[in-house]
Amino acid sequence: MEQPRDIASDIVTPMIRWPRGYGVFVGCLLAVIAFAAYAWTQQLRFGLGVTGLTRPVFWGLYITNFVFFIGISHAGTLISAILRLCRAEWRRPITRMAEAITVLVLFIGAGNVIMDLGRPDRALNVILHPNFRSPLLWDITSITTYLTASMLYLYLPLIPDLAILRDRLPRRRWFYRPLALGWTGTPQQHRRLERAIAIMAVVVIPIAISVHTVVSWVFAMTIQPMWHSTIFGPYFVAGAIFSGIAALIVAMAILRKVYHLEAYLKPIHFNNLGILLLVMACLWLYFTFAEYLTTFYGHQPEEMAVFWTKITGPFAPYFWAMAVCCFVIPVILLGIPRLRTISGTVAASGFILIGMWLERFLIVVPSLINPRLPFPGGVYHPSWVELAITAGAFATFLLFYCLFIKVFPIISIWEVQEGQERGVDETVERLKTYLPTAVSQPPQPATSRFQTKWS
Amino acid sequence: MVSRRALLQRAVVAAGALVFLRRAPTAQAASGQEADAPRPTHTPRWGMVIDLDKCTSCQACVVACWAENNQPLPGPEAHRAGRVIEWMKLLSVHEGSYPRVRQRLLPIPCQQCDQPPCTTVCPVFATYKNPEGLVAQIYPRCIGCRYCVNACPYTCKFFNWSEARWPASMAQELNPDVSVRPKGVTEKCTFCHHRLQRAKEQAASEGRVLQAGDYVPACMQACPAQAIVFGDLNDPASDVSKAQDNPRRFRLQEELGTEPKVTYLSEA
Amino acid sequence: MEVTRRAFLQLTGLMAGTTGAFERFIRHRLMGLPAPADDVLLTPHAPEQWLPSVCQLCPAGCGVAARVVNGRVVKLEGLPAHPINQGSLCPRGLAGLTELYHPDRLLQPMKRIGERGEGRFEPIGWDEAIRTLIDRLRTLHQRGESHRVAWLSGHTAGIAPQLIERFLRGYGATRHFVLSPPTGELPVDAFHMMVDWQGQMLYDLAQATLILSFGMDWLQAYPSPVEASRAYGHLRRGQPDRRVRVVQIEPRLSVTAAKSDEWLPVRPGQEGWLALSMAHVLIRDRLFHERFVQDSAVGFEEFSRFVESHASPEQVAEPTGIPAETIVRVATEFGLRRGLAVGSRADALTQWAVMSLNGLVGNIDARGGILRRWEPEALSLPAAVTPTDAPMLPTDAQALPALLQSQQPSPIEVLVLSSANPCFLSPSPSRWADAFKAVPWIVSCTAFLDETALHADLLLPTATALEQWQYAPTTASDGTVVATICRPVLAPRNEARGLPDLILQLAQAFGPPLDNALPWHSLEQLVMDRLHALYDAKVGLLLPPISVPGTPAPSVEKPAMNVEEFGKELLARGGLLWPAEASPWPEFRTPSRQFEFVPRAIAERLKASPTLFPTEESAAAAGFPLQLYLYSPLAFLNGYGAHLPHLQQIAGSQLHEAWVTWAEIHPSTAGALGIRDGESIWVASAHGRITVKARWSEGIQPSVIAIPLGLGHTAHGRWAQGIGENPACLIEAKRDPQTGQPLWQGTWVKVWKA
Repeated sequence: MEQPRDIASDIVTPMIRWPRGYGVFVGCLLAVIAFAAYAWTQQLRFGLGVTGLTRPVFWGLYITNFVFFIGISHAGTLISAILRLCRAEWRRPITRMAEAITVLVLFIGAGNVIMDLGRPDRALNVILHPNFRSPLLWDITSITTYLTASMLYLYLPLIPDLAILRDRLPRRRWFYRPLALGWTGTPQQHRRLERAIAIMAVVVIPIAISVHTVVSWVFAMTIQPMWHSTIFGPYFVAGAIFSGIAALIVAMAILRKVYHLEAYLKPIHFNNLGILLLVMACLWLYFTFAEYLTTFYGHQPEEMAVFWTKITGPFAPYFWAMAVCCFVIPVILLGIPRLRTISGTVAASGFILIGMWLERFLIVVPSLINPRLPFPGGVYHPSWVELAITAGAFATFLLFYCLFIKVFPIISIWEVQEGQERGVDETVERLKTYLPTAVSQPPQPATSRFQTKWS
Repeated sequence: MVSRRALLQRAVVAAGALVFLRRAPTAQAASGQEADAPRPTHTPRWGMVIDLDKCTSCQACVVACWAENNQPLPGPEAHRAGRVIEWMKLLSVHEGSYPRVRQRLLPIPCQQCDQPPCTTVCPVFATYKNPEGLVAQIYPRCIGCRYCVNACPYTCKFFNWSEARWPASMAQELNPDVSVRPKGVTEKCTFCHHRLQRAKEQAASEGRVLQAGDYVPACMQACPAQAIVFGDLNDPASDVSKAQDNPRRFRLQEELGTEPKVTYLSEA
Repeated sequence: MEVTRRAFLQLTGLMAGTTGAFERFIRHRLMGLPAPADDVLLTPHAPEQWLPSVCQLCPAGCGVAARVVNGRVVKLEGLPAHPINQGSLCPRGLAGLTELYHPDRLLQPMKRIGERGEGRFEPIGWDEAIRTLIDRLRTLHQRGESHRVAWLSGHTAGIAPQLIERFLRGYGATRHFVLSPPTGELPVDAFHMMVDWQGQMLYDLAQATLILSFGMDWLQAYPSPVEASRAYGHLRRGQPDRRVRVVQIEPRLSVTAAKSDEWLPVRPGQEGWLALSMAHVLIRDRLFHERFVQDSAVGFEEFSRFVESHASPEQVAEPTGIPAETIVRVATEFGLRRGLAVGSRADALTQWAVMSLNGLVGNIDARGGILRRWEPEALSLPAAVTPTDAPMLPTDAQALPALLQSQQPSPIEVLVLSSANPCFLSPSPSRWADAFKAVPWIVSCTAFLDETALHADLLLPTATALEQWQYAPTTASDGTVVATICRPVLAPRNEARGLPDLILQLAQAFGPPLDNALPWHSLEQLVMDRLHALYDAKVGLLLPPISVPGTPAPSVEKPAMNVEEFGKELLARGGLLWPAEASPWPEFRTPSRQFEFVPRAIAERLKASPTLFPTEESAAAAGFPLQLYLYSPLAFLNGYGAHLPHLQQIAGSQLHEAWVTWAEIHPSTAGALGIRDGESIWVASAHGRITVKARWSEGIQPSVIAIPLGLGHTAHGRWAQGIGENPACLIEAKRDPQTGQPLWQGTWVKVWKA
């Protein structure tokens, strides 16, 4: 008989250890961020003229990053909420790291919009003089809602863990004690917490979908060629979940390595997420194909100008790289069961992240390069400032994540404990309810849990 | 202890009073103005007709607009970067091949759409259509998100990528009626709105209503070929209404439903 | 943790303070925004004035209304009701304000301290500058070598050319060279030979019934661009139920060609054949104006004999590249409508061929045809008291470099330059720099340190039009005469002085006999003199008062005025006009007193060889397969304007090019040479080579490469210097045998990828 693991110490021990590599990595991130900050001061001082933006390419890397990061944010909350609602038992070790990605990456996404503003000092005008007809304001509204909900959704399952930390780490007691809200683990507290989590899981799904739909509407609500499309909402949501899962897989793989969580994040987790990723890859291809075919078949001159710019024109390398990264490689790596190993799924995820970033770039820039009136189209070469700020955005996200995993347990201790203690029984119970009822019993039409209970 | 009901009642009264107090002075001011100046019979709707058969594409309008509206100086770097600000600009399109080649040359100001795609997308009301139909830009409020610029199907809005600078001696020729835009905001053709303000002030000081010809944008005033007609589209007797009533008329990208108030008359 | 109210408030205050400080730091330190209100709002209304003046960016003489606020000129508009521009202005005129306030203007007299052409000067005072110049002139005068002073002027508008002539005559010098612009001049040489040997011609464009232009891009390069544009608008849609057709014959699809109903892409240099073949059609089909030809012209027989045998449409279809049926169709239309054939100052034979078309349809001295410029007696200056009445010597500026180097020492000791920049704008400009080395002393009166001024020993800063008194008579294309007379809009910047004032001051400083020829201390005095004379003559009509939309309506005219009131009104309104009259001359001023179809010089040439316009296959064989076609966009009219940023920006809008020299080339030609659109290419002739940006264009004859003139300055201010390339260096300094004019077109070049 195997000894049950001390989950709490497995998770808490790496939190209080500070290996050299960690310091070096954080130092590197800080250096990148410092350079990005310098680039930003240049941009503040001299205006957006220091970027490669031009007429008519008024949006570039920053907006690409914005859409990309908001997409990544779908990793967590949405996936964790869906898995929770589906009572997928394998979710337990991955919900926390997914939710953390969501909350942290939202700040980065929003930050990129601030970078893009010509007058960041006036950003508060969106609150002082809001115009609710503007999709940008819908965006702000839904992103703030999403951020609030996601933070709540991250925080609620953290409470029991914070209590554990409060009790285990006396030196950080001052920090964890107020956050734990006096959690003692009474059945009543448990009942309330689980109820709250269940409500949040339901609430967060429509919000998450709305967020990326609205992001797509920023483009789709204009009448610019290849932006003005009705499928942009679902297309963006699908792409967001796609890139979100990919980001989650990469994060899982890294944490598994550095925190030695092999016992928790097993190949089955990667396998399951890999299958989900494969489904999303197919969905993505379906949407992309539908979008481009409709454009091509309609053959409107303005739309076709953008179309050819992407397919054969100056953006063709990016376009085909995107197709390979988002579909060809993932389908090979994930579709063949032999290749769907941990490293296989991680590699596929890495390519998907690159591909999805390219996809966002290809949505933003080529449409702008080809204005409706035949003015000489612009060329867009991002300047060092934009590249530095983009690098800074990625570095900031990594830094946030690095700090998060040192402050909060990256695997939900109590949920895994719960799974270990009650999960097997519960699952068996639930499974039984799926099965045909025994013959001796009077025939019951119900398959539902509630009705079984009542009987 | 104040009851919840009482609190709500008070809040409603206070809010009502606030709304009333904020309204009252403006209403007074407006009625005071009306006492001085004769009231126009209708709200004008400013529009422009550009007759391409008269236009010689000399670009006097382009330079007049630069000079009138304190637009930043063009230069080689700005041109190469595609950052020249020209509210009025010449669009040139070649059609056909040698020797049967045609070239269309169109001066393009802001089309001052009646259904502007740019105003709805502004998150902070920095661009809006005013009651006289002019699509205006509030520079001190603009946050520089460039959403309106991207939403404009005519590429007629411009962004201040960097601070506009003039050599000290040339700063003297700046028009005192027009603000110099700070960096980081969007700007556009205003149909020389400051000239409308002046014309209104002048008419008011002379105790009359605004007449046709009082308000003329700089591009029209400069045009040697008199290809530009400007005026009140709501007045069926105005020159611009008459000029519009022409079988040669077309508007740019009419199919988009933007209802431009700039009408072109085709060449033949 | 217990939070007290006090602690909470303190914390809140601290946070608010920090946020505020941080926000201020970002706004004012980092972003460099002014505090506290960060945007410039409308300034309160300063009192403003509208003052009349004249535009002198080209010789057209448009009236200008300058808006002056707080002593600054903030906008130029056209002077309403001015006969030339009727309240409008061309882009050059509108950019004129930038010339006034240009940061690189020459603002004080300078003396050369470096080598010639090196550009090292040191500032000196006006007194010293004038003293140096006068000393030189006096020394020569005392030695009896007055003829060794010469004056070279470029485009000089207003009264200055007259004052220069008087100055030279008064001094005893006889050489006043005038540089003619490369493009956009009227065919005056043919006019002199065939119509009037001493008059000046006008095209009455606005009244024309059909405009057939032979290589004249008249909407862009025309002596009076505003009038050309006005005429176009009028012809097209200015008259009820009448739209005049416009046909353009030119190797390149110029703006005029683009705005025309028909473009005939002729091979360069073959416009003359086309004109003669149209004459052939007119004569063959008896579509010419028989009464004019019989009563007012000579040489018709000889002319028709020539065109009948040498210029049938079938014969010229090959060299011109225009099909015979097109020629017949256009010629027939021209004859039936009695159109106006517009030409440019090309070679004499082409000018003659085009002018003969106007003779055939009797469009000489006729509305909608060719008019003769006239000027009322009252406008001319009183006869000068000059010591010599010696005629001025030939003023062929292109002969000057050779003359300067013809002997040692140079026949010219002192050369005065005014607004002339041959080191930039003449064929093979480098030969001028070489020639200037031979001249001991060069004075340049200029507003900018241009390429030619770099070779001067003394620089005298001239003022722009707005900074001067003006007395500028001009004639509009319809024959209306206008004298723009006004006071300065503002005082000259720094130490600049108007050229007329400078000439008068020099004359006064020199003393007799110069001060007899120019008996005025200043232009102001001259203007006041003329004011009295005009008042006494009681001729001309005052221009209407300036009214600008949105400004107070001007006061109503008083019926009778004394001389002071007259002067005040005149200067406030900007001048006098004389409505167009019938030609003041009853007959043509040619040797035969009639229109000469075949003037003597042409007759000799016809006798010598009937091949009037050779196609020069030899050049193609010698490895220069393409013909270079030079043109001036309106922005760089007369090759002048690159120093103004707004003009640089609009110059190439037809191809969306700016701030670079581009070359239009047909895609098939370019494709054969492996040149892609937008690539950098070398263009080389036997005389020089330049790198330019190739632009594919369907609007160009495939055997031609077209390059705009006006760019490629090596001096002339920050916006001109170092921008683009100067195609003038590709041109051989060749002169027309009949007229002595430089031939700008007809250079053969080769092109390859850079």
